[in-house]
Amino acid sequence: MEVSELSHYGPSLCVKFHGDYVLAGYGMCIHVYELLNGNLVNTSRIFHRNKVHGFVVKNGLVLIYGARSVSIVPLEALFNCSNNSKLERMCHEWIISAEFSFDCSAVYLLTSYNKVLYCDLSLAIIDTKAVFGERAILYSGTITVLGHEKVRVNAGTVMDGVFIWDMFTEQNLHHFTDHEGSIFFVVASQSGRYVASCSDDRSIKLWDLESGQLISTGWGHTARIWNLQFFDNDTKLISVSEDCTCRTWDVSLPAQHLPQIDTYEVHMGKNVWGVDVNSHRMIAATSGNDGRIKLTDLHLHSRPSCDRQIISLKDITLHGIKFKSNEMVKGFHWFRFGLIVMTSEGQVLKYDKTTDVWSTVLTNEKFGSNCITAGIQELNLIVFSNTGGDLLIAKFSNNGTLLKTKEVHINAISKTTNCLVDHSNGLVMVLLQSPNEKEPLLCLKMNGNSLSEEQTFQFKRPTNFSATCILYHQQYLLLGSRYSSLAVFDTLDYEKPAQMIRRMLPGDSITSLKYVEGSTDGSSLLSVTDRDGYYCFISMNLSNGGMEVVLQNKIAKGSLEGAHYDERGDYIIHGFRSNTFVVYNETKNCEILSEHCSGSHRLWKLLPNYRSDHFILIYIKDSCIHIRKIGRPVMPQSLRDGLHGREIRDVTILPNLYGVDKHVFCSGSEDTTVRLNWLNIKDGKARTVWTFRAHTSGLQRCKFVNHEFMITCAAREELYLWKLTKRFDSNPYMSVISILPPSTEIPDLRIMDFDVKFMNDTSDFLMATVYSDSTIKLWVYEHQKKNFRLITWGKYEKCCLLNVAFVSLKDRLILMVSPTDGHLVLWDLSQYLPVNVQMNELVCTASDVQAIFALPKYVQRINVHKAGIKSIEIKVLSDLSFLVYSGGDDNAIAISKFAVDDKDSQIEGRVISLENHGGASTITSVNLLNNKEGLITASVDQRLRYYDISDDQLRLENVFYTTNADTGCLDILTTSEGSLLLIGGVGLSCWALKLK
Amino acid sequence: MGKSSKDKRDLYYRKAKEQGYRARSAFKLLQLDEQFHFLDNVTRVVDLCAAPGSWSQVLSRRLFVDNPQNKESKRIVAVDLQPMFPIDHVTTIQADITHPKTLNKIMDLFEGEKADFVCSDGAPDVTGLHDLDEYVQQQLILSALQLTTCLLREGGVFVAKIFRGRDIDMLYSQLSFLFEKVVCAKPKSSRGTSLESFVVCIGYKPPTNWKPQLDVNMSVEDFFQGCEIGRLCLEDKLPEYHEEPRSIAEFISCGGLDSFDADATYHDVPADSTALDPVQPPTNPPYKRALELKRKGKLTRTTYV
Repeated sequence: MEVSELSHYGPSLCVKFHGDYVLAGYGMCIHVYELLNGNLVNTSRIFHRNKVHGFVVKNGLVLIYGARSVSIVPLEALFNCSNNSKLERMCHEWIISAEFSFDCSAVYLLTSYNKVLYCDLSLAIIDTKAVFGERAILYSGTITVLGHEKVRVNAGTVMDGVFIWDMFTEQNLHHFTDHEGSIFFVVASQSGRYVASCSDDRSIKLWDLESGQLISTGWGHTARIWNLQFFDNDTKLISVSEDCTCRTWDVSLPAQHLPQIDTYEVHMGKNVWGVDVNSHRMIAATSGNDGRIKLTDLHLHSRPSCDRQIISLKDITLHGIKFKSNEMVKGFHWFRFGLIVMTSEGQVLKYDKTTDVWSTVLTNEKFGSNCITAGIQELNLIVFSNTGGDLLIAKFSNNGTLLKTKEVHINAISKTTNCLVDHSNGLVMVLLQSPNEKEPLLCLKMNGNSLSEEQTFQFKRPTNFSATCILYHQQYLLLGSRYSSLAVFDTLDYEKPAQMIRRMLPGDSITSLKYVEGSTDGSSLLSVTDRDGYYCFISMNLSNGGMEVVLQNKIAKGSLEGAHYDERGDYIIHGFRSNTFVVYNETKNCEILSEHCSGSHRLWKLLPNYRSDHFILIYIKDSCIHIRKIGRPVMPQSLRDGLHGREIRDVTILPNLYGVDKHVFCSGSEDTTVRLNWLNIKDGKARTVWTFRAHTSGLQRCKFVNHEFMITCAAREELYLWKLTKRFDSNPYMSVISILPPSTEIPDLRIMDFDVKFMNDTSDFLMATVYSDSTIKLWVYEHQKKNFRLITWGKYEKCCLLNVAFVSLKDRLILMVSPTDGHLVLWDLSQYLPVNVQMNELVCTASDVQAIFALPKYVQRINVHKAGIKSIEIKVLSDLSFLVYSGGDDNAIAISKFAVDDKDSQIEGRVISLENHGGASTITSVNLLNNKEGLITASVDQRLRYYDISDDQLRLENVFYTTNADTGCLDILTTSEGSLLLIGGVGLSCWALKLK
Repeated sequence: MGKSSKDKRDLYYRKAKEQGYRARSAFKLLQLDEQFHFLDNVTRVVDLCAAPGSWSQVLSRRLFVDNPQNKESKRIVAVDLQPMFPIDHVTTIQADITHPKTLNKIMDLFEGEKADFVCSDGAPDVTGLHDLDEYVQQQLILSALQLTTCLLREGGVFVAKIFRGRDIDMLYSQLSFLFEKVVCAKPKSSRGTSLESFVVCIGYKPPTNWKPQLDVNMSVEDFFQGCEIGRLCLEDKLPEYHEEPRSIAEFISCGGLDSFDADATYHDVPADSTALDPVQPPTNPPYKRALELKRKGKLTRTTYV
């Protein structure tokens, strides 16, 4: 059997800039990326098993260390050699840090016992350096090489603060004890004069080595801090933390309180481990537990593509424009030539962005104080509407010359409090809404060039309807509203009442409606956001109102004001987190921009800025107009996207969704999210499409149960049925279509596992769930009603149940459960269930199963393991017999054989093969492959074992090591060349298995 | 999680409070002893990394309450870097288990006699770096073991908490050089979802030519250099990568069928019962000040420009 690792996503512990490249420790390898385009140049294997924890580059050599491994690799070999592991050497103690000597003729290795191994370049030990009589255990440390004989060790201990000692004299220079708890990082400034440290107390301390004094303390991180670096000529410090942020600090001035400059949310889940700064470009690179290699622009605000202007009315008066004492800005819109502003006195002003000149376009005193401003960039057109039913439309040329104006007065409604504008095919649609709910919605349709009115019509206003956003698509006018409603009007048949969709999302006001694409069956895909932070995609037949929510999700925090797909197909959302305006890449889970402005209740607009992926944010703060450009970043946002930041609890592959080689898989994590990802089987690359935040507790299981349904379960009795939609080109979409009702209002039970058995060829199925209190439940899912109905309830004993499976025999349905007591427990359901089993299939429909009955005592149980059974697989042998493969917390793997007596329905079972030492630790997964002739197991000892089971005996054939700690889940895809394995734990790996 | 929901989620947590144990881990030692009976006929025992003291409480009850004979010669010594509240019949020492002085103190209390039983339930705070956490835990066990080799009688028993991670089979292999039998035992009171287990080392048999000697200038690695337990030796040249000896210890689950399952949810906690206070209030964490600042809104994750 041949195994090759196609890809790996997991913790990256260290990262460094090297010229225009970024080097990152990634599992047992070092990745080399090009900084400017993000290309992965090479992946070079460094160690056999250990992870790369750190490295230094000097004089064309790279000194790499991780755990008890160390290696010196030519820099060139990192770029062009995929395996350098033959250079690995072993140390007897954990290596905390390493450095080259001043002239690069030797290396220093600092171990966890506060000793330095002084070695030559062949890693032969020249000397061992330590401070006599001082034994400390280190969690952190660095070596400062200042000269040939001037080497200082900065040692961060577990119990005893920071020691700074001279390596050659072996004398302590300083002992800093002001921190509480273990020291997690300590590093000297480039000059060597200062030392910064951080500890379990979550503070950063800055020390002066000349005076031996503590200079300042910085607070800000909300969890442990893992790494610190001085940058920008020792004037600044950067820190990364368990709280997923990276922060910059000003260390240029001595101050008791260390001032924080900026905070960046850089990683997901938990823990940012590595950081480096390119001071020349002012870019930070961070690496985290999520496997992401993130680049952060520390100078974002001063980049030309992202500059900002702040303009006060006083600034504008310098252009000869006069304002009344209380005059203020009431509305604006951004165009190709610049900004159009409406003031409270009805002055329409123009700001020409090329000449930087302000001028008056017109003054119309009817508008101003209670004026609403809306615009259409594509048509250089702006619409002002006042409460009295007056409309003023102005049309400009591309360079800002006023071409036409038009004034309209509306009598049909008594007052206007909302004016929404959209356009389609050169036609402008203006919608006016009265505060009086009984009055109709008034629409004006006009030509976007001539401004000639094509039509005015009224729509009957639906009850409980207050329009908040507009979409004019084909002949349809779609209006989002408060109460999470959507109305669809047909502009060709305005007598027809609106098709209403109520309670589309859990929140209240719909904030945006966007057309995404049409499908071949005639339905339109719309993206919808709401102010409470929910978004959804709905597939709608606009002519008859047929509607299906194909995706629904909630953002991590804050409100949503809008969303769109960018050029690369990433879903970009924007909204507010209290007073901060945030633009966020929802696909990649990273922040693009955050701007501290006044909040959503003030005037603001985010508009495209006439270049793809360029935007402009305009808002009023402190009576000034703020114009913030949002350009495309100067470098990639990340060099690698990564996956979950915490343990992956389960993975499930849905093969061939979009053809032979295009698969998707879902991963469920401790971080409570479920990710839907693309899987490329050629290179094993995983790319997240959606990150779902439906669960509130860590995932237990996720499994595709057929070609479109997936089920996930978690603690707090959460079990969701998801449906995947593949009929749109933009992306696969997935939504929860049914939720299993919990047994109490405050659920505290964990659903440990489930299994399903479909009825005939329907979408109805029978489902078994097992719980942490030993409960077993059977449900019928009726797809028509999207409803789970409880039909059986029972208990095994008092212990927690870990797995459940249906075994379909010829005319029987067996239920099997594995508890923490090591038994396999069986019921013959066909005795109680009012359904027929014929040729291994359930012959019934959901409505046939009505009766509720109590689950009787099991018919058989056999003791297979000495502790909990963590994973089971089943192979049916005949009409009446089957095999069960199991792996347990007792490190054992077993094959048990069961046979049903056709006459008395008794089930007999026995263990036919047992490997007590199936792993050095818990067996977390057993999976059949190769036509059920092979079994692959995963264990927490980070080894996968392949057994030949062709003669029903466990014959160990291969053992493979994985870098994923907490190895917990496997899923297998059968390919033309063998099998593809997804291995989840702290990280995810994709392996190709080929049988010889 | 509130106090009462923890009661429901974890029956051992509640039982510990009811029976006056300082932590639920008391049941782990009780269940281990139920399986191995290593506390049946012991006179001198040492509890390392003992705080808050639940294992010492068990030792005290087993040696002085359940088997009250021969009280005068019985000694229990509990060692920890942290201070501990006093426990009946237990001499607590606040000291570093790796320091030679600590050994001398214990030997003084034992009047020169060797110990019959040494245990350690210690575990470091985890960082989230699995390899580092496992290494630190193994160093802690080896630190406990080096003191143990200096004071355990031949044939004595050593019990320590382990986490069954990547390199646990290397530790099994090393321990099997020093003991007749090494078993990995998982009490029912230890959650199945946790990697925690206990290594029970029975029948101490030190190498004949090796005399353990504690020295402040030696690391744990140095200490075991002469004793050939299969750990990597410090040579002139760092060796190439090679597999180190590994062996898998026998697994035993402890606690009878009637004992409670730490993973199960129990409903028989009366709904109206008032939640008991934890026996030992949580200690002051190093990040107490940070928590105070956070409470006052001084630490925020907000990104300001």
